[in-house]
Amino acid sequence: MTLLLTILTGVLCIGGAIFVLLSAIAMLRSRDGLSRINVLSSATGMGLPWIATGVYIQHVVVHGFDVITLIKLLVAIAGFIIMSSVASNALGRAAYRSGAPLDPATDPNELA
Amino acid sequence: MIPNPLRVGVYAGWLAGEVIRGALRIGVDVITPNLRMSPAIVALPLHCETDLEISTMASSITITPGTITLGIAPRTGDSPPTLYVHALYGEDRDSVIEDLRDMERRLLVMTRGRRSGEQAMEGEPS
Amino acid sequence: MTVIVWTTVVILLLAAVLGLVRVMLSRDDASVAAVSDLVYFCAVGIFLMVGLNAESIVLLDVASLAALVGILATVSLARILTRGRR
Repeated sequence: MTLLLTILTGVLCIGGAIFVLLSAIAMLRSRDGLSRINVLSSATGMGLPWIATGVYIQHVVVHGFDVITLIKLLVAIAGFIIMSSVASNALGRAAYRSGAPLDPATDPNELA
Repeated sequence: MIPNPLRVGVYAGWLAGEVIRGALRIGVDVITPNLRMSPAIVALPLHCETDLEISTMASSITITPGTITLGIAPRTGDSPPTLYVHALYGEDRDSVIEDLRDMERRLLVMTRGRRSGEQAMEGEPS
Repeated sequence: MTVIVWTTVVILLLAAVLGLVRVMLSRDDASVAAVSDLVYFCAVGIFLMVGLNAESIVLLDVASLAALVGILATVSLARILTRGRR
């Protein structure tokens, strides 16, 4: 049982880290600032919640189950998703309004 | 005005699936040699009415990898509230709009129930 | 367990370094803001992993606080991008 949970932890932690890495590679290869803000959501929407879940499973294995920790996990996941999407909205709007250079391939642009 | 928790769960599960799908699509694109990204900014008139629906819609669009909300235009006169969406794979404008309409339909089913949600999605927003 | 922890830490470090390379290659403001967010989340992940190795008990508190406070840095960066205008 412990072995199974450890394997699950490994899958969640390494998988989450791989999502963060994919987001970094996408950031390296995309061509303008707005696309880089855009690809960040695969790190915050998948990567960090998976890592937090893996940490929680290991916490249960080592210290036992309690409800407070489960609530903390749910707050962390909801926080990562909601806060990062609200923050990305604000950042995307600010980047567009500050006249960040756009990829010339951006077509159609209905906000021009 | 709290939506049915069961419907919230269905919507959250569907959204998690979309996030995984979008993340894998971007991941596959960036680790293969040919980059197929061609960004687009499209205007999306909404069927949503309340502030909760509009802001949930904007956040759901942003959390899906590949699309991000750049701005929200509130209802003015007789033009509907409009979101400006930056899509990473925007070669085909119609398919981008279609995906977003599907998300909006599920969102309205969550907040208003199945019948009035489907009903609100009929026709163009006004 | 140690293998999992250090593999994850190495992957996250690689992600942070790739982000820093991006900043060195092009320095427009929007990219810098996006990369600073990425490095913040990498740092949170690395902290969680190192704490997991030490069997610390506060990890979920750290995760929830990091999730809730991370918005402050991003919103201040957004204000910097628009030079304080809304």
